[in-house]
Amino acid sequence: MLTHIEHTLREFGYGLRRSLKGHLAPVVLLGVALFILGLFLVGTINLQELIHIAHSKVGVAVYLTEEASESDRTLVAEKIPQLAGVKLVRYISPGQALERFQSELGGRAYLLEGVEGNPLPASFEVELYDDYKTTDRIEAIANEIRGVSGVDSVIYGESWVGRLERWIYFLVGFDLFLGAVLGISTLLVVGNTMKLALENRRDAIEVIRLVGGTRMQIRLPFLLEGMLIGLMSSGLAYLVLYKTYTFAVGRLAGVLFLGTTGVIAFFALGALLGASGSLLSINRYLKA
Amino acid sequence: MISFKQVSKSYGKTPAVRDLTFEIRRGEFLFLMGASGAGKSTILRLLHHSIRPTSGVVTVGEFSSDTIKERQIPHLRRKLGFVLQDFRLIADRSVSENVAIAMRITGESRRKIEARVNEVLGQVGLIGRAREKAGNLSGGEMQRVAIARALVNRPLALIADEPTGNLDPETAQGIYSILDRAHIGGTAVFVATHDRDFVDRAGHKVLHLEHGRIVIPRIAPGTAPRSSKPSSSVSC
Repeated sequence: MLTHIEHTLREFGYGLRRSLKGHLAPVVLLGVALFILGLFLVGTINLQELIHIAHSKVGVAVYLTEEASESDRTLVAEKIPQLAGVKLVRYISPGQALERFQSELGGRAYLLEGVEGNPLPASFEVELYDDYKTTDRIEAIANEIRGVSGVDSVIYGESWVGRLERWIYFLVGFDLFLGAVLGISTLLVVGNTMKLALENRRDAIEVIRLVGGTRMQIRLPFLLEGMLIGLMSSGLAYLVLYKTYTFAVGRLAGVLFLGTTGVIAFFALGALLGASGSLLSINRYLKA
Repeated sequence: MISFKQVSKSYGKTPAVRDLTFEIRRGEFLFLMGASGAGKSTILRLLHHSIRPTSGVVTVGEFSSDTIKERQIPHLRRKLGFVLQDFRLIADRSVSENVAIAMRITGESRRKIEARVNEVLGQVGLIGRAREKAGNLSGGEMQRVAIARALVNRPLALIADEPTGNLDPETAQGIYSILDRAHIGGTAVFVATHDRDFVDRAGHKVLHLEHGRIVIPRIAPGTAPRSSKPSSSVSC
């Protein structure tokens, strides 16, 4: 087994010596493609984080009617926590609502000077579990609350929750589409590079075939070469991506970058694309 | 050891060889003679198993063309040492590396490879040029490297296709001397050639091929037969 590895590594070494210069262009091309993909991935990660933060603030406000009695208020206060998905319920009395409104107005609190009494109704702030912060589920919860006696209106950010969800779907979809387009293009680039490398080493391949080398013994060195192209491209793309990130992080606080798993996946993707492009060419070559 | 039993091979509707039956026995030296297009290359390709017979069976050691699996073919090839007219060397690698590659693919240890490569390079008179790039050698030297590579795995038979086709007569003689020494050393040798003069001088068994069939050579009236002993192992 060790000597088979030796054969593979030797052929890999010979191959690199012959073809290394020819690999520079595909490394740069694949690197650019991976950089673009990386940019979108980092963008998606950051947008997802923003969405996550925004999502955590999604809640339901339940306003009671002016005529709502004490027993109505108690009923609502008992009913809401029983609903699935409700994490926390806070009662806001008309007085507390007015105080909050005044503090939100700040310097413009004088606007309330002409208002007689307290026009704000009593309300409940309902906090939900993350799983329930989807448009459908919030709507279902709101409908149940609307049916409770004493409830005037139920307000929640349904439109922007839905919009955020659509953004996530769009971005993930776009990343996948971009990944597929770049993946196919890089397969073609690596495939063509390896085709040249195979032509360049036709003599060695013919000799290995003549003396009884197996298909695997012919394939493996080229497979390693494709993987190396992919890894070098990932390295290049990662370097530029990281530099771009450090440049951006100085201007935008709280920008996220690829985590450890993301970095491993990024390099693995490069290696996989390189190896796949190489394998396509080798198989076509060996069949010919 | 190596045999063809009623072997025919056609490319589409064109027959290349027809109903061939012969054997290459252990330690035998056998020539295969025939004009261009007679079917010599087809026989060598059948031995290499890069093509399969349309009918009949080619046997090499324990492998038979009718039962061999695709993944076993490389192992069959390791039992034969091939020498081709165009030498088939890797020009930018050293002489010893060109020879060692045949042994390395079998998974032999580095120590054994080194010892055996030196031994066969000694046999073909190239021990002093082991580190030279193959591309820097003369045609005769290249062919000697190819012979060393063919012998390095101690094959059942050395199969040579026009081994002197690109060489001058003097160099060709040197190559035949090496093939003779391999034969004397116990390796079966099977040579496809046009070189009638050498075949006559060598005095080994000869298979004559004409239009894909093994034939007994026609001798013009009043002339002595040019070819030497017909092979006892050949059935026509």
